[in-house]
Amino acid sequence: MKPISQRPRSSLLGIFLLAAAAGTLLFFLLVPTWDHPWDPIESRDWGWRGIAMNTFTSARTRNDPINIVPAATTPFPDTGMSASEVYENVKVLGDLDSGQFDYLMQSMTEWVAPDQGCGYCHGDGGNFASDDPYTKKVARRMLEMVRDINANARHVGQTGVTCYTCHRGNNVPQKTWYEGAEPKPPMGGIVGKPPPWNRTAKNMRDFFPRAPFENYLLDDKPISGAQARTVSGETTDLADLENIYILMMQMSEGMGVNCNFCHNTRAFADWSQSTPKRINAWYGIRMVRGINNDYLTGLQGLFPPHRLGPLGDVAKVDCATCHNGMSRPLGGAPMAAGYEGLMGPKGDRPIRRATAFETRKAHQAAITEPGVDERDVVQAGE
Amino acid sequence: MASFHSLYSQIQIHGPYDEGLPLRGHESPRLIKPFLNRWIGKIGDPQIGPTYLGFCGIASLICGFIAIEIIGLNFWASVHWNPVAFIEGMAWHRLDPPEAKWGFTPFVPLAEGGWWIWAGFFLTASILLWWCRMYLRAKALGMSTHVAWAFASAIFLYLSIGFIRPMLMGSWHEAPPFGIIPHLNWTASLSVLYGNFYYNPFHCFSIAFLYGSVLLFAMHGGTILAVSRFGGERETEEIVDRGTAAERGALFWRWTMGFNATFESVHRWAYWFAILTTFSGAIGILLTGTVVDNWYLWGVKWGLAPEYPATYPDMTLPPDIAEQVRAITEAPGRSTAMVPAAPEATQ
Repeated sequence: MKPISQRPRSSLLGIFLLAAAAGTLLFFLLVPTWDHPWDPIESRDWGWRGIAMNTFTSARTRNDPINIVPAATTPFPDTGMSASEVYENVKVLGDLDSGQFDYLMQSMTEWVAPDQGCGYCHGDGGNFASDDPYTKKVARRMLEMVRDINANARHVGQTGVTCYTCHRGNNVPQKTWYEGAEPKPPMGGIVGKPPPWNRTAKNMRDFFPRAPFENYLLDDKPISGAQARTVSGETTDLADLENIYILMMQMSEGMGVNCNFCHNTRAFADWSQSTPKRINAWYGIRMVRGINNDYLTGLQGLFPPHRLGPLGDVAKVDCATCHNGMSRPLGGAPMAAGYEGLMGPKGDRPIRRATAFETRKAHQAAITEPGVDERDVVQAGE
Repeated sequence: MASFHSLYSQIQIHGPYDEGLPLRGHESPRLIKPFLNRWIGKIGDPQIGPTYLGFCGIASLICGFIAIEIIGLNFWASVHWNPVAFIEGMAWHRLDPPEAKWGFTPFVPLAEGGWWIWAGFFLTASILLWWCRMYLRAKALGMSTHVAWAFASAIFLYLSIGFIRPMLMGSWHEAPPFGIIPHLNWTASLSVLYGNFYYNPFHCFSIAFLYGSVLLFAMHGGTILAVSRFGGERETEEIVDRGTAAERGALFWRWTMGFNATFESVHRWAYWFAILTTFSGAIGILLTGTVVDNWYLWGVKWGLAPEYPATYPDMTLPPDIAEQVRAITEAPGRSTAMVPAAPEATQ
């Protein structure tokens, strides 16, 4: 019989393990942002009882400073003169009353460049008619976009959008995306192609690959066939399916809702069991495609390099850009009310135009790609 | 005061090491010199080691190492050997099975899924060798081989997901990728693709057995702890020589639910519930896509999925969407018998 040491050899190890466990617990308690018990998740039941068609909201999202509707401002009185009579080089809003025009210009400054002021777009030289700053040319195109959306986007309806809907007081909206650099297959291709994860992600939620956005919010890939071969009659590639799944998750995340805000999750594909929100979302996806293709891609040549993504592409929008975690941006506040200049002419088509995809291809062909780190990327197929 | 020292006391037995049965001639030596650990003793036997690897164990570890190396090096290579990016993206890295165009051929270029096949081969070899080890070690100790067969049930589910079902479907592409988040995405997507596993009856069975296992575990553990003051932890003795512990435990369950398992049968209950969890899961997987394309529609057909009153009876699809839905559901060559009617389009 061996003598047994009185002093256990493992006490230090045990203390260390306990400390590590306590440290881990503290880390997970303190570091992530939790929904607190005193800030409860609110549940709202939409469907027939017992089928759990619930939407969850929280006061935390609602009260997030980014989602607070800014204080109302007083419109300027009409002057009776149009903007083009008062100012030079007014291309979009020339017919607008100059009082309305000034009011809109002041509001735009608050919405997009509250810190920099008028000079952000008009330059510091005092020549407000100058088209020199790239920001002015971008702003003009964005104005056209907002007018188009307010007049023609079914997704927005009567709510109306302003610059603030996306920008929220920032020069660039906080939630945008760039095309992912498709990495070169490493080791001469022997280990396959890694997916274009968003390597500039700041947190886990941003880290998802950009492929779903590129496929469905920029390109025309159909978002269908994700379910039920017997229903849909088509075989979806499981890789496409994962991309659709990620896109849907990002939509949910961007709007702060569950799958069943739009779908009855027992049969995702079935429109007859879906909620009317799905119709709105359907138009939303097409509106986002329109914004990305008709408006944003065309600005690629105007932006300085530090505003562009790793592939030299312009920042693009997804659901989260406007929604910011709420099912209706800014709680559905009628942001455009009182701004005549933000209502464009009615078109006979919704914002998504049949030519958008071709427009973008033409834009991209015209723009010389800025230099890309050859080691990291191959040219995305276009 | 004299107290009854049962296995359930918190006293740790620190004595001479238990070296186990003598080795038989053909067996390889045991590893790890035994030692006692007080902290391990708080949740189990304080003695660590010796352990036995033998041929199967060593071969299994080698195969497992190769599989993990293939997966890990693919992950690492995909970020150009950048160690920071490797760690940072650990949850997202992926090694995908071959694309659908390769069918089920084993001859796929490494970069296009060949590595996945090799990793899967070595992982499977490792698991099967580990199974052999469980079987042989049980035999070496003169035990029956129940543990090995329970493990086999889990292996059957693993093989069904990653090999047998892809083989039946004729495509590697049906198999899950390696990678933490990618395989979770696959799980969600596959369920959606095949019409919601919620309505897969074998998925239901699997969940029932899983939760049942948990319930049985809690009931059994609770009962034995509760009667340990009467010596109830001597379960095997009480099977043949029923004492007051067994009788009180039995009476407790007859009082509370009218029926009791015996000290013997409760172990069979638990064993079969555990085995059937993975076994019925495997059956459910094997039927998916091979026999049943859409579990939701299957559920509708057999009355498993009830129809609920429409929450939005007035909802009508705008023509843009209705056209798209029609184009999909009324595509030629499709059985429309199982297709939910496309909603009427009115403006």
